[in-house]
Amino acid sequence: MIDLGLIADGKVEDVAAAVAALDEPGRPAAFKALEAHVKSRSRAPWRGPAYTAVAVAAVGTAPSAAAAARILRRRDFSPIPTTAAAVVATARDRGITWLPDLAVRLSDRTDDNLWDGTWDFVAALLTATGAPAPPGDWFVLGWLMDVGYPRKDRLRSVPVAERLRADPFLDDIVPRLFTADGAGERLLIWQLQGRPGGTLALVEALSELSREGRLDRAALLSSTLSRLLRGTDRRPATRAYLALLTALAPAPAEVAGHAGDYLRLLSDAPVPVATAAQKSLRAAGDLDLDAVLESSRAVLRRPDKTLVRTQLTWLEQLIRHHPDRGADIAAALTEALDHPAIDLRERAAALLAKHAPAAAPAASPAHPAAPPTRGDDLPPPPPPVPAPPPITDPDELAEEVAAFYSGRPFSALLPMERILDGTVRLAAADRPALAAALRPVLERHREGMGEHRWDPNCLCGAFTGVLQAAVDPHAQPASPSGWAAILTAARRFLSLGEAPPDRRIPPPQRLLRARLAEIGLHLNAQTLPGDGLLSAPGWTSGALDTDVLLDRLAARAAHEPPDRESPGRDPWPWDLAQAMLRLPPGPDPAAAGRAEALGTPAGARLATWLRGGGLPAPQWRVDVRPRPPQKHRYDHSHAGFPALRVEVTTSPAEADGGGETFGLLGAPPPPIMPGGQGWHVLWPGVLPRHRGLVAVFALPATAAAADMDERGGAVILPLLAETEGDGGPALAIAVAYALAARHESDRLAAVDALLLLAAGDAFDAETTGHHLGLLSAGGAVTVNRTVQPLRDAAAAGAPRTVFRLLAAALPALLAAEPPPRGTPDLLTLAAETAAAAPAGTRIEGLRELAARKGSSRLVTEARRLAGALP
Amino acid sequence: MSVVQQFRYLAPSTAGADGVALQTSGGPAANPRFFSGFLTTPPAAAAGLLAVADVARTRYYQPRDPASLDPVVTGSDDRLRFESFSGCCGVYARLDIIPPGLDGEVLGHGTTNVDVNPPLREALARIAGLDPLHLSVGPDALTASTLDGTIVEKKVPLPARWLRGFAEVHVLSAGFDLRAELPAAEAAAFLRRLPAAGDRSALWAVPAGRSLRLTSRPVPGAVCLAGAGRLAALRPLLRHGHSLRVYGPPVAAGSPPVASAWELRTGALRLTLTLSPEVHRGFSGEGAALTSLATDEVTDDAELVGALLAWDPAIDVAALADAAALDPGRVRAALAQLGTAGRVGYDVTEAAYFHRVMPYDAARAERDNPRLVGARTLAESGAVTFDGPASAEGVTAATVRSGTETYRVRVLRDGTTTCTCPWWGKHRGTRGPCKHALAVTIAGSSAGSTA
Repeated sequence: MIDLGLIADGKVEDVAAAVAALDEPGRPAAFKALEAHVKSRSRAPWRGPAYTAVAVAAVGTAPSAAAAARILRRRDFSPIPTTAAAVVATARDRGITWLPDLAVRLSDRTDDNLWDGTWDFVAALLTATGAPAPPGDWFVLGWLMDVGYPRKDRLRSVPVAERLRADPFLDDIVPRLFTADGAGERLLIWQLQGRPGGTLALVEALSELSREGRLDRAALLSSTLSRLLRGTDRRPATRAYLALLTALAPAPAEVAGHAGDYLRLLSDAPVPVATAAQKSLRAAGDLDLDAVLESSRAVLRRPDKTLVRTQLTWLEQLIRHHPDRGADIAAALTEALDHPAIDLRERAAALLAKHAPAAAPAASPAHPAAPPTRGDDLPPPPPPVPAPPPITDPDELAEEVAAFYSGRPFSALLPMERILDGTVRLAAADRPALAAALRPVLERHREGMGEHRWDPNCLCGAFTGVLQAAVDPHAQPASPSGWAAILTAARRFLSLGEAPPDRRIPPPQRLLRARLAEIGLHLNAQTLPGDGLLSAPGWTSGALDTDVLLDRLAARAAHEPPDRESPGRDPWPWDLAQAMLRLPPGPDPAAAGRAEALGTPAGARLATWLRGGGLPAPQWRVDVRPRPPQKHRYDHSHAGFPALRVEVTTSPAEADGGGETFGLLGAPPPPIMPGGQGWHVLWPGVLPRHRGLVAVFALPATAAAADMDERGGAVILPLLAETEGDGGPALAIAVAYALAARHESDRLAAVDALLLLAAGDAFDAETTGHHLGLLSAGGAVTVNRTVQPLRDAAAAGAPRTVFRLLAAALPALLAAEPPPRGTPDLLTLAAETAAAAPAGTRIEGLRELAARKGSSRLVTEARRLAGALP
Repeated sequence: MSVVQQFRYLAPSTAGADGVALQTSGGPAANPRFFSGFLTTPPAAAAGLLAVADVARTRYYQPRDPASLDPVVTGSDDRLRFESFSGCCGVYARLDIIPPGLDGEVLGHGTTNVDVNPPLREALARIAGLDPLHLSVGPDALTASTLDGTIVEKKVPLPARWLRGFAEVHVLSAGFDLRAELPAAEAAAFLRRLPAAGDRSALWAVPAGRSLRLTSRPVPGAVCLAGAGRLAALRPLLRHGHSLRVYGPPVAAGSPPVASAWELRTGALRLTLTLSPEVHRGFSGEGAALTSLATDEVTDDAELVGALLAWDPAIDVAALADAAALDPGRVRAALAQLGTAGRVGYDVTEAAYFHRVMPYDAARAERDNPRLVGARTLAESGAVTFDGPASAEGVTAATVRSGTETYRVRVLRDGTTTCTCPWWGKHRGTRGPCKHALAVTIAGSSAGSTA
């Protein structure tokens, strides 16, 4: 028997002696005891001397390699390199021959833990017994780790090639470097980054050994090509194998010998590999022309411009060398006539015209993405969608509330409106049932329903307060100010027209909050109408039809005359205000007459509104504000500000009849730094017939998507495109900003809005273009970002609109010195869409630029556009 | 519990100038032979096979060293279908070699695993030329008789989640419709325009002209493209393609991300990639067929329908309904259940199920679906209390008590269920019923059968 305490204490020599003292019949019992002991101590990790002691005891007593591996493969075991010597000694004493088998079993792993010491232990066992490397990728990866950065410090100063020469596993492992998954990444030695040898030290060493003849060069070369052909490696691995290929520096004859592989790499591999293959092939000379032409067809279809350009040059050389095959080569060249890059198309057309006039196209080929029509060809804007029916079942309301809090709260107005309407409706009908249904849901979501006090626009506290008041009439809002204070503020800043102290809260948001407070107050007071809210939207856009509102008011008036006994039937002021803002604008005397005929105060208020044409048309004012100057050298208070910012403000028209405006006109613009959490997506539904006004309030957030790299500032634009009203300058400017937004999702939203507006003939392309040019030339937005979205819009059927936009933007861009990056691409796009331009279109500065000498991209593209203008 | 799948091939699969010889393991026989003949478009077929093999080895979410199962091949009547499912359970790939692509005969019917090894992959990548190339699926008589020690054995863990996803992707695809068809040039341009491989966002695309246009939000007619980098497997075949077809479920404004299928057609081949709704989400959690699994009626129908299948490349529901004397609706439900058991697959092109039996024990995985297990526990512990008879609108409501929480479940007139739990609130039925709704279904059906 072995004293198990010795093992736990890591007394290796004592354990070895105890094992040596055992006779063969005594070993099975000792092994059983050892196994039980290890199992009982499963929590404690086995490290260092304790592990060595276990390993010695296991090898000294186990009946087979499988049994020993059963103990030593435990996950809580972590050998140290010195373990092996003692184990080998014990094995030799005992006279067993299965140590290599044990090593193979220990290396049969699929995890990627190479640092727990097992690899070193396994390698030491194999070295001591002179056994070959075991199968499996794990051992290969461990070998790479050890060769690249040995755990023995003193070896690290030895050059990698020298270490490789002495490595016992070298010949076993090298072929497997090209088959093991994950080997490629580890061929790069990141620990040597910036040090002698560098990350490619191992790759260089392999090629050095092949030069010496230590490794089979031909095998290395074909394995490397095979691995590159496999094409599933990630970028660092591809880089490593490509570096090896480069280091091997195959001679032209070798390249010609592998021409099939190289051609396949040229047509399919990632750009760096394809470029290298192209270079080698061109240097190789003697290739089968048919194979080259077959691969050329694939290469010329690649999007990579440099690769294609070089291929065209190569094909031109081939024409000169093989004049008899000119027709075949020309046939391959025609593949490039459809390339998305216009300069490559032209180059191919020029080559064809020069060498094979018969095959050349009559004129420069049309761009494949540009539709052949002259004007816009857009599907009509989708018809408005009626709002879903109101919630009449307490369980359904509970579901909607659960959905509201489980998703992103306040990411759309309609779900919130439906919940508010349903709450009022159900609270009037059967309050206990409503409370029973809502209570568990509110309990579940009580986390994260509170007010976010850092955000002055936050509605969370007020909205939750409404729901809590529905459950319990005595509940008061968690909001610091309470319902009354909110309503007081709304009266001052929305009704009486006082200038609010905090311009971060725009009027639509104040209106929403006032409505929440009003509903909460009535839930507390239990003065509720049975038919929900007057302002409940009739359409998903938030809009409401005048007839519907009149019917609702008539139903209230008819049901019971308003008196002190049923105050809930009296329309609530803010509810009615919201309802009025959702009506179509413009004087409607007939409807006003119907409203007046109701004979109620609410009817009279509505009649005045309808007769006056609703909200007066605003007068717009556009200001371009430069960044405030530094007051002194260390003044960084405006460091995050863009160089220019366009601001839109409104004022009531001169002949303002003095009707209600709810503070919406003449409100101070929101601050440049928007902050907040995207509340602006709620506002189109508050003012569904006045998108120009909403755009004024949302403009800072949309602008920040372009000039402050914020995300999500443009998601409001498609919503605005779906609502109604004059967009005014703010909407057009918002589209300009969004086209140049930092994030793709915002640029996509800009294209969505542009197409929807253009389809409804409501897009002011000139204003958008003018401000895009102005902002880009002023360095406030990156015009390069607009190339792809504008190209998308043109391809989607709006070439005319895109051309109008570009024609308005280009004068400022061309006048800038130097023109901003991306200007040549915009010129190209303008040329491609110029067929849609009205005759006689002039673009200021274009003719002068086109007349300049030289062949810079800018001048070339300017000439192309000048030539394309009708 | 995860099981280990064993593969035993008589020889490694090989490819070269003299043909492609794929080795098989499992299914109707130990090493069945399905096909011997010629590929009419060898480079395209090789690119397609590589794409299927790539998907099998890839984890698109949290990429790690690939280790996954071999693809499976189904021989049925006139075509071969190669299928694979990614290690992350989010991408399903199928290469259909349809009659124009094959010149030879399908020798046997059934589904089996195909050996894919690195030398085969490299050899496939080297296949070029226009001449037909010999293809054999399964060992020839010589390989089968001379056991010369080249046997390939592989052991791969077979997670229940993977199995469930592989089966469930078919049930989900049954709700897909054709959304767009792009000619080759437009398809290439569209794929080029997509964000880089690392992008994991869910994009939406709508048909615009002859192509697709990316859009910022879901609208009716849009398809969802989550993790555009996952379409990379299409690229090698792109230059052989004639058109790209895109399929997806109906989408409304405000929809959460949904699955989509992208089918590249060359005339002789069809390569279809089906992508999960989000990169981090596998198909295993989509719960498309949980309602039918919760009750026993459909199980009986499925047994009946399953016995009538005969390796049809496209199952004709009407004919099957006649043969089984069931109405087509019940046959469809039965097929969906067979789909979750891995006994039929769905082909979006034909808009029909096809018969294939996965060479794994897939039925177990679906029966042990965690959501279903949880629902059974709830139902058996009496956590479900029904309100009483259905309301005037045909709505049945029930209260489910789970731990300290109380949920309300409604069964609407059309049979769909709703719940007040956060999970349902987040997905709103797009990922199947929640545990509580399933518990109500189970409790309702057992109450119905005892009453």
